[in-house]
Amino acid sequence: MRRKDAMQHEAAPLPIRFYRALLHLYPAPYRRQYGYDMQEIFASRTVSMRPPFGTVVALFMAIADVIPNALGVHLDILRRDAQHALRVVRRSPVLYGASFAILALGIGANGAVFSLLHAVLLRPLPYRDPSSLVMLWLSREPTGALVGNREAERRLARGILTSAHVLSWRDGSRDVFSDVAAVDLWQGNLGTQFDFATGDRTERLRGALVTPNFFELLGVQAALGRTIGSVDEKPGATPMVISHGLWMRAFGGDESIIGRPMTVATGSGRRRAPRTFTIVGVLPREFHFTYPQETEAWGVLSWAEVAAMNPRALALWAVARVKPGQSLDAAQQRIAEIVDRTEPMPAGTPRTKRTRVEPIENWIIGDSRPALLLLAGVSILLFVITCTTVANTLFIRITAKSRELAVRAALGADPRRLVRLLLTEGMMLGLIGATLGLLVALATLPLLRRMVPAIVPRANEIGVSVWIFAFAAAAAAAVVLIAAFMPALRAGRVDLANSLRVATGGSLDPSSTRWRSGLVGMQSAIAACMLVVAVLLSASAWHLAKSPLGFEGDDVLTFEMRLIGGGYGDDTTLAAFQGTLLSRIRAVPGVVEAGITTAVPFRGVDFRRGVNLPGREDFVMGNERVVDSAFFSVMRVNLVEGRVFGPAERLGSPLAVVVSQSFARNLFGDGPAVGQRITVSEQPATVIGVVEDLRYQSLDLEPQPAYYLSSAQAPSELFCIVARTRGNATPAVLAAVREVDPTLPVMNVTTIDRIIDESMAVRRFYTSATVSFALLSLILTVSGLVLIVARWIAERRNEIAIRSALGASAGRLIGMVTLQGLMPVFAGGVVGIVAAFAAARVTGEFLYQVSPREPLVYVVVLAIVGVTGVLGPLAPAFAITRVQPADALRAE
Amino acid sequence: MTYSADDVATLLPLPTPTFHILIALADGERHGYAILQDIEARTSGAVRMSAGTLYRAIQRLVEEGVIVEVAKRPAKLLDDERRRYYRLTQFGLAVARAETARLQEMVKFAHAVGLTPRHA
Repeated sequence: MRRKDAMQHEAAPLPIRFYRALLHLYPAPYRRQYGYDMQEIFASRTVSMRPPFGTVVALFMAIADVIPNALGVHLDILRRDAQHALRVVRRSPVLYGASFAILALGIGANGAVFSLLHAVLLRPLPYRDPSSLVMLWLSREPTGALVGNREAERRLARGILTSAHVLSWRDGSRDVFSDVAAVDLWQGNLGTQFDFATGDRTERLRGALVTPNFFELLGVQAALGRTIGSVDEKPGATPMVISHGLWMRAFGGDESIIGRPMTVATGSGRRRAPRTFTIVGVLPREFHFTYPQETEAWGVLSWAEVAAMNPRALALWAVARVKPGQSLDAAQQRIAEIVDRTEPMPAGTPRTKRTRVEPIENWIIGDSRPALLLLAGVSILLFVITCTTVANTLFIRITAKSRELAVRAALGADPRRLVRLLLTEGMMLGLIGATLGLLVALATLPLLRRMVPAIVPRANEIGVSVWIFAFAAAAAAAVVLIAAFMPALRAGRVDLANSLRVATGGSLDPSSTRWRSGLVGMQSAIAACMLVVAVLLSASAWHLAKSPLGFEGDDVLTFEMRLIGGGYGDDTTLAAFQGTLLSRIRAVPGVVEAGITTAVPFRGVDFRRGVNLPGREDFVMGNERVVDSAFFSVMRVNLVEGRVFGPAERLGSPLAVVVSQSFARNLFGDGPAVGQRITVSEQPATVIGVVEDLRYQSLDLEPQPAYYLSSAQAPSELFCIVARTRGNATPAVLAAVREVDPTLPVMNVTTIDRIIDESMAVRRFYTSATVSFALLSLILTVSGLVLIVARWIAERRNEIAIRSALGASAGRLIGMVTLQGLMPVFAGGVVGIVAAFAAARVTGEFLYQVSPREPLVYVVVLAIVGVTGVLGPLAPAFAITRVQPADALRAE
Repeated sequence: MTYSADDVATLLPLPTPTFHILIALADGERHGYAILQDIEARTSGAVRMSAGTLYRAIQRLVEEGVIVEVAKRPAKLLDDERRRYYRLTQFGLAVARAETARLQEMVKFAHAVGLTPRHA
């Protein structure tokens, strides 16, 4: 018997069989080359070892020998492949430079978008177990003019509660909620906007009063001192917890403030008065309850105080924690049951307000989610295009070096070895690409932080985290898989005869062309789909930009003054104060004109009231705005009929009303409006003028009917100043206001055009991102196309030479080549717009006055794709004119 | 195969196990096991290489052109067709010589400053 048979016999001793098995850790060619000899040496070394002790020693020897050496061999190969890959890169710097740039852009853009998504959507909210926290609401469906108004829908879906709701819901839901807390919040109630005097001015803080269990329910601990807790459920407790932001801003981060008094004016109406609290704690920097504007000062609202509140006043926000094992549905059902029991409706009357249990995450980031998901979708598509472009590049390189591969394979190189070589190349692309991409993403972060609208919750918390590195690693892995595997799989079955034929100038394997055309087609489909969305969004933005406002907001300075509390209680004093204030402001150099209004556009403060025709019970709804005579000229509102307010309107004189055109139509149809009598808040009034409708809620909402009262006749304690200025008069105006009353806080100082601009910020952000990503993908698609056509021509030099020798004109040949490139691009483009059409319902959510199925958009995109498909291949196609028949024949 | 002095120099200094392999192959072709036995005998068992270490070194030396696998073996050695035999190339010989010269030089330097082994 030959020795090899003896050695491979089943009866070989255990250590030898083990060693043989371990040898599989080596690469197959290495094992085939040296395995037998190694096994022989190992056998001769261990032959004298006797079981059981000797066997154990032999097994250990086998492990100690094979594992480190096999690893070493693999590393050697990797190092050699990497060196090879680097040489390859040095040999075609343009091709690889382009690949690296494409990857850096693709991964960088995605990394930046991912860090945004991570900061806003993916990171857990700053509470313990945030997924079990819910907000409790009373929601209403919008009616009348508000139907279809998404902003109003959102607001109405989140109606606040009365104290009676909070108490009965808390007591009746102990089986589904582990706890319920109530908050009296600045967003809803003027009483919790705290006036805090610092230095020479008074600041209005965003405040809240919370039940003692609030912080414990959220699972939040103070960064310094303590939060409000059950110890504060006692009469006379005055704890104050402040946000990290306020601590830094007002107290310079002074750690000794704990235990110090802090006096702020709280309450509303006549009850507003300065009260002294004791600062007991500072909240952690990351803690937020309201987004994007954080609540700054927290006082206690004892349960006894809740029980003593007016049970019919809608005043409280409620947050609850769902018990483990209980579902949202169960909670929802329980609350609905309680309401059915405590507030039964007469039979047959539908309930207008419904209870709603909303996950806190949805409350905080739900509204930003669609835009961010759109961004994520677009960015993923860009990433796919990036990878296919790189795959295409590798692919081209493989066919370009098919001769080398064919020769290697013919010389007996293991096809798996070739696949490995390509994988290493892909890995290198992935690693370098991801590293560059990471750098691009990190460099983009500060820019991104500025670009993301402030209204997106937590957007200011975008930062460098481990996750962005994890993302880059994942992206690198994806690149390796996509960029290396597709070509590598094909290289794994290199067709020798075909490759040699191609390499020596024969015609190309048609399946390889199909692959590359397929990739270009796919890119074209994605690019077309993105283009459709980009064009739709741009059209929508254009419609918005040109939607008539009814006023001119440029150079109009505005700020809010809400006299929540004292001093100006009676109308005479208030009107006199407003008069003094306006005359002081008008005297400031740079102020052209100044007026007063209760509502500034796009600020959400616009009170809807009902007005009657005399003798009629039914109301006609309109937004009531109290303005002075200057308001209309400051805002450049067009007077349609009659007049605006003048000196005739004084306290005590007959009530005058100016109505908007649509309100006049609603009231009087096509009849005359001026001179008509109506009833406003149960007082008779006369219509003195009609003005144009103003777009006041947002750019994408139609103007709502409105009527105007004179601030001289019905002065409001909540008012805003609007001042048309020349140059920067803001500091001087604010100084003038302080001179009139230094204790009055001035809020939200800005300009009207900035308000309009900010209202567009989210839309502008995702529109510009989508447009730029779509353009980028179009560029990538074209570059892929150019590469392919160039390659196609290189492969067909002979065919082209022969055709041209046979008299085909250059133009005809160029046409032939161009058609080659156009076909996949156009076919992909059609697939892409069909996909975009199918997704129209989703896209429609983001559009204004543009149908997501607008045929013109699809035609335009198809035209863009078509033109690209023709122009892209043209540059390389001209290379045809340089093909000399003689050269090609010489090559034969 | 042509080679330059530079080609030789880039391989120096040789790792000790590698030099041992070259020494073992200096007086004729051998298969792997014989190389190990030769080294062990020469060093009285002080140098014992594992099979894995030996063949990694062999693989590298083959790639570097220092040794080659012998295609035709002496008839009397046809005891096992699967054994692989190796011999030094001209280049390998040059490398081994250069390494020897390098070490001699080093020893000379050491002697010059009085570094001599205790029991020499």
